[in-house]
Amino acid sequence: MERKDTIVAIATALTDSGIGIIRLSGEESVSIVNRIFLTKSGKRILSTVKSHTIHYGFLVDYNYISEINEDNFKNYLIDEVMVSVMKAPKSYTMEDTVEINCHGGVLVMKKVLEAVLNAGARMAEPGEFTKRAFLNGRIDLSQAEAVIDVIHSQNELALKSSVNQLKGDLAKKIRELREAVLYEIAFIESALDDPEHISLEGYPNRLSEKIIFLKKDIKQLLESAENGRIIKEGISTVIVGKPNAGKSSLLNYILGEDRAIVTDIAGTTRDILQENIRLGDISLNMIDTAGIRDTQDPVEKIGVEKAKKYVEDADLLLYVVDSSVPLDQNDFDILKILQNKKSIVLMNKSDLNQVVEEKMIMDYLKDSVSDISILHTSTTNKEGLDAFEKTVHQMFFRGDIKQDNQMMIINIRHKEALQVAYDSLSLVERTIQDDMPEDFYSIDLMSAYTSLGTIIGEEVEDDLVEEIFSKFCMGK
Amino acid sequence: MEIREKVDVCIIGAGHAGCEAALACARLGLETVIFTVSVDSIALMPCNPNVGGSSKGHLVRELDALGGEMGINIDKTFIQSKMLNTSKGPAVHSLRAQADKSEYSRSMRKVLEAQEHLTIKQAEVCEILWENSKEESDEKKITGVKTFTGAIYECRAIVLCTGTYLNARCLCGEAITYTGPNGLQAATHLTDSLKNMGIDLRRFKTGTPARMDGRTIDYSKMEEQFGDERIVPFSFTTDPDSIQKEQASCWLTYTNEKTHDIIRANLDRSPIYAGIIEGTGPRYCPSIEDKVVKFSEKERHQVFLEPEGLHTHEMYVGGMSSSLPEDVQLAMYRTVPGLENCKIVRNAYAIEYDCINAKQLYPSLEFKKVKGLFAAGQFNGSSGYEEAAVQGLVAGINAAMELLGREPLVMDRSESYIGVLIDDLVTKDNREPYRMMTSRSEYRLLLRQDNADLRLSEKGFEIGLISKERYEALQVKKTSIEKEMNRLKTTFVGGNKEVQEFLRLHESSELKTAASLAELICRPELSYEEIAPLDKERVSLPRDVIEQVEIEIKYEGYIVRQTRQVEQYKKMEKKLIPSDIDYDQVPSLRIEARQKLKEFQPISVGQASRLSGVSPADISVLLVYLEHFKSNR
Repeated sequence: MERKDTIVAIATALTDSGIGIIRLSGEESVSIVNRIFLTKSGKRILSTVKSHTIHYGFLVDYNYISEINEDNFKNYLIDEVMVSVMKAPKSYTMEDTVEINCHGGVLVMKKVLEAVLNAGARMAEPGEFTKRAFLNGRIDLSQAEAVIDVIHSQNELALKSSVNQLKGDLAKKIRELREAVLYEIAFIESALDDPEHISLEGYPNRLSEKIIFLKKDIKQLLESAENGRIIKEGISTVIVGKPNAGKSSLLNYILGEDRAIVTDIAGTTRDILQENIRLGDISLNMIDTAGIRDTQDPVEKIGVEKAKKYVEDADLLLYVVDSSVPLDQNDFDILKILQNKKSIVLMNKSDLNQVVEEKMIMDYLKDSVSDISILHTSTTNKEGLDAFEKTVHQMFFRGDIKQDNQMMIINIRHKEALQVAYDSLSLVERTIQDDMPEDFYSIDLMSAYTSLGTIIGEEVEDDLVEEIFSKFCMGK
Repeated sequence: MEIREKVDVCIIGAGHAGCEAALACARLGLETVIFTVSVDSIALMPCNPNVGGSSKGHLVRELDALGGEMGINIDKTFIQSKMLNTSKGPAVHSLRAQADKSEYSRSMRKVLEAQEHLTIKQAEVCEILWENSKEESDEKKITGVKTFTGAIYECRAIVLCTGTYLNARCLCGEAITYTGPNGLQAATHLTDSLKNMGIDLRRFKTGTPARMDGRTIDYSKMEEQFGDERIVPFSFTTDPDSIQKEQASCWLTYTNEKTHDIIRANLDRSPIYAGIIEGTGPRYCPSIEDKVVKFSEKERHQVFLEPEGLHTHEMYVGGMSSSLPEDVQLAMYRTVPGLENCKIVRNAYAIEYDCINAKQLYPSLEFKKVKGLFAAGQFNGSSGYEEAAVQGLVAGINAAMELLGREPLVMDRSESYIGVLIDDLVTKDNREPYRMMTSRSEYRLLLRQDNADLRLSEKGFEIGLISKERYEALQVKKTSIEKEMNRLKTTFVGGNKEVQEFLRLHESSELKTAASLAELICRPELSYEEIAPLDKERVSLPRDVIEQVEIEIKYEGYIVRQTRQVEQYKKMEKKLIPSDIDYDQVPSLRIEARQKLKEFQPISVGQASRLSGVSPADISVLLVYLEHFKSNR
């Protein structure tokens, strides 16, 4: 039997900030904190207080608990705290929950945590509060996943989108889609059930039109899934260009005053460096390559191969051109790669004498299938950073990410379910084209419906029968 | 001195459920008594004069494949027959036959009377006799029944098939009578006896339209509805050639705004809208009042005039059931084209009756709390002759299996519509009389009416209701289907001149490489029949074999997908929950789920997952717990 033990974790970021919160959940939450929490007159009151109340007092060191009394407790203080008590089931986890508001600061929080652990709680596993909330039926699957994404999101935008999802924007959209699909199934089914009352004359065409709309909506959500990943994980960006084109100085320049390095991982192969930088409200995972060029050096070759692999997986390529020297074969090779990728060509050293003109590059790229912009930068004159930021926005979020309230699909499982729904609808189209009988439509419509349901954790149950009766007048 | 008899099984009620239950028990060699308040009402059809229809036709086919009687009986007594949905896929083809009601009833009575081990008894059963099965135990066991006149029949199993008779009340506007359908005597005592045993009862409602004097109907204002040219029988045992005959017609007409105005103006006199009826009615066969109120945007509703039989003028007014008062009924019917001068023979009425929430039953249709007590038909909260009949058959079989010490017949949702029907009844929260619909079946592509024998007759044979000859004939059919499928898949034709010409002629694309005959049949524009000229080695096969071969080939892709889904489904059905599970020991179950599971005691995780109030999260919790449970034993 699994014991329903009491878990604890630091609920706020473990940084030096104003307030820190330590949270407990489980049957013994109250009694555990009661052991180490005393009012200013040195009383232990927590086991008698009402639910949803907050109390001022002091946390003491559990190691000396047997010696602590009303008179001497001030010698054993850890922190001055506020403690709130929320009893089951009216708490996030639907279990007894206690929150200790202590002073922020890494050291204090760690000490408080330690005291609680000593007093009988167990350290929570990552996401365990959410897991309990989910298992106790407090939140549905998509909410649970959004919470986990909140924990993992790396910047404000992702956070905003997670919060939206929690509020149910996504759930609402999915529900709308499901309802539309369900209506069609119900119509088909009522006609099958009562062929003398309800006719399917001309229906295949009507359904085809509706499916086009449904697919469009799902496609949009799927695209937002891509955006969602990019927001959460950052845009994977690879800088390419010949050696000495000014890649490194450009990188340094972008990182500049507002530099916000999150990670600094040296590549396993030489000359590949990855930096996570933040530009306004988007993040870029910058990978600097040694430069792609034809080489005989076996060591450098490995580096080039690796670079090519990065290029393949990248969301965005930054091609740095030294506009003061003529293009050569290496440049043309790179331009070839650019044709299939979202890319920004940076005409660097624009302060120097311009040998390479924008038009030459444009001509070369005129057949390319992807989004390519050309910008002029100069690290010496501090030109072009704003334009760069705008262009990235434009490319990945059509520039409107901030105003647009669209919900983001930020989870792989959601994306898969949407893809299944999309494919199922395509199968319905196929069934219509193949002139199959109408009852076959409902097979794939139903999988689309079920699949959309898995995103918000809703089952099919008796929806269909309800829908048939409420929307269509049946015979007899 | 009271009469005291000893039998094996008592069947209470001789409607469509009771007849099947009684025949099943007697045919399996058990001494059986069937009780009815009136011998003249055996297998009565108190509502619509037809058998089958969408998905109900499937039920009758399945019943026939298991050895039930309804299919054979309707084949003997139908006056019009139609295969519905023939323009749609094979899964939703459904047979419906108009019955000569009195012939149907008489013919079934003859079968009962001729059945060895079966006694018909006209009496109202007013008490179930029972004892506690073990001392100091909650569990009960039945010992017999007692009739109103005091006679006692000791028995070891009972099947309750009381239909709409328990505490029945009929309403026609303000006029209320305490009778069963058609003015028959209601059963007023049994409810109390059942309640005393701890069985929960509830009240449902249904209704029926008026019957018209056919001589007063002007058919020239209606559209004639004919039967099929080639009649397909219900029973797999009926020779199709033996039932081709002259058929009676039905007639189609419509209501109009005038009809609706009269109804709206008199809603306050409808017992339902006036709140006199407490029972819950079915939404799928709403009264005309309901249709007008709920679908007010519809300008007209269809009305079908159907003959009640060949030896009567009476016509059933399908689509216009009602509980409005007599005068309103007459006025409203007379607004319908063709009915301007109609005379009503029998008024429309609503009927209320006691029934149970079938969640008190195991899927075998035995009460969880009372050993030996089974229930079937409308008493279980279903509606319809066919739904009743299949439950009667299953309950009868399982009463017999219990007495014979054999395994009960429990079919799952992937095996038959009967399985879907019973699972829905005993698992889900049904708040209205339950009717079968093809949309209730998840795997309907596999559960077709045309392959009911292939799916179920082996079971029927094992049970003992299907003869050896029939079983052997089925094996022959199966083998020839397989052989023919194989042959078509392995016989190839090349793109020679003859073939290409043939394809051009049929507007089918020409071959680039050799193709199997099966691949050609698969093309929408071709069929088994049509490719005959290309199929040199073809031998003549029975029609039903060709039908199976063609369906299996044409829809193979979909059939394979559904078969895969069935495998998934079976996994959960096979995860059995031990009967001694203590749900209080399962951590993290939500309270609602815990209560539902405790109350319900599902037999498998699959069944648990279909309970309302049990969420997918609860199921994961339960699965985890069951793993622990297993490993800790």
